[in-house]
Amino acid sequence: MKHEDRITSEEIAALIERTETRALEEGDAQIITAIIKKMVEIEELYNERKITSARKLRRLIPIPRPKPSEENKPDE
Amino acid sequence: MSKNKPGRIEITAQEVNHLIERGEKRSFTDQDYVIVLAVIRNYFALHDAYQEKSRTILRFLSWIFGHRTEKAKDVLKEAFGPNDTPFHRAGKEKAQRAWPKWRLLLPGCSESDGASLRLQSGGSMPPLSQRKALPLL
Repeated sequence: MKHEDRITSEEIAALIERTETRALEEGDAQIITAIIKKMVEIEELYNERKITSARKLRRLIPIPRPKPSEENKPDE
Repeated sequence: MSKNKPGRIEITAQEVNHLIERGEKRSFTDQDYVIVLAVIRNYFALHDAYQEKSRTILRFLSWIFGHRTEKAKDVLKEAFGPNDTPFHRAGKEKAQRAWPKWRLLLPGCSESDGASLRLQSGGSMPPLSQRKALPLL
């Protein structure tokens, strides 16, 4: 996954603010579901003691930025 | 149980799946938002440690999912101080006012379908040995 394709800390911080104010935007639901799935995945691996190094964990953490769905793509 | 112990949100496989379904349909309930915020905040903390290349990232993982969360919290106090992250700078105070004592639990998701969600707070919690906690930051 390319670095620029990953969700950044700033984007997550902004997402937290929007979630707090219940003002989610287009695409936020995709990121939220990706984060939930990612945390479940990490927790499963942690419980199975499969995260044996910080390096392994670092590989797991990034989430790709969701691509806009067909219906939400801007007209060309 | 100590009065100061934080409340917890326990999440099991089936309800995680329902939460994801509601997320995909953009139909979160008020209760969902509390859980979603807890998950995002904990992910944010991990992500921040990842970005900062923090050496404490593994200990932080144990803090989130391990049993001895209170002890780890003391250990990590300095590494994740209140002014260390954009999130803390942006909204920690506000977040604490809204949900001062919640914790999110993701119990072992070994079932094939994931887990289920059980919201809990205060005195009805099972013993710590049976729980894994995602502390709210």
